[in-house]
Amino acid sequence: MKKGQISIEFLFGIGIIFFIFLALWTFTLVTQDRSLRLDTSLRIKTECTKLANLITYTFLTNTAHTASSAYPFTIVNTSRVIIMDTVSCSLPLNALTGGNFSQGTLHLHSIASYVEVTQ
Amino acid sequence: MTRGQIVLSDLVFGIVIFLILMTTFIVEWTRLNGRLEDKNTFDELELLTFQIADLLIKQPGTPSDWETSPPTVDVLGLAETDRILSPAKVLALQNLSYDTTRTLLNVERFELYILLQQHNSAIIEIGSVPTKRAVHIRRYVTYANKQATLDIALSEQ
Repeated sequence: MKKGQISIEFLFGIGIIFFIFLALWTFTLVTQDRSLRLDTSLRIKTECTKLANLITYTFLTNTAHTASSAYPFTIVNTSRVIIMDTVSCSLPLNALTGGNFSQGTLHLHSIASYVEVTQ
Repeated sequence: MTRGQIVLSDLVFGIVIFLILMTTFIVEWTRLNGRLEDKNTFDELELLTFQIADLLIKQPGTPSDWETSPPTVDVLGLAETDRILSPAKVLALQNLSYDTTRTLLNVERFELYILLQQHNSAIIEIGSVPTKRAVHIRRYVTYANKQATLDIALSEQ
């Protein structure tokens, strides 16, 4: 072997390492994307759950409450579901008003065993 | 061997060890994600179970005299007042079908089990004891002027 010449085995080794790192990089990108989406959906789910709890609490205690939502959401009173972005959470009661709500302050009132949500 | 030359077998050995470690990491990572998703489902079950228990034992339902005409019920409730159950409402709940009860409580996706007991004998039992992973809570209530327990369990189908 001449001085300064690299062997075919060395090139082969470098090639393998290159492909391994390429695969790892792809895996990292996919995992990172999945983790970020999971993190966002967990945050939205927590927000949705808080709202569902507050609606149930308002119904149970016949009281009025003010809350704020960090995300826009829809209450589908026919299927008793709160849809917040890609997340949904269900409610065990169907005595509430439905509608689309934007992020911000919310007012919850219990009127004659019926929960009304307004903004 | 010439000084400064790379030995291929060392390189292969290093790559194999690295790949084993990476595979272990990826498998463990995937398993953790699965567990996190499981935990989310379990948290939802837990929340719904607590909400259902509160609904049943803390308020009379809507309309408040739904037991006189069960098909008109909007929201189930068994209480005369907080944690004091009405025997008429309990009887009316027993006469509702299992699917109707699940629909009224919006838990059609899950298996529901309700058991009201007094002195270890069942007053009403709705559904069957869950065999899968379930959230099970017990509340102490007053039924017919005596202490009773209301067990509620929700499990995956």
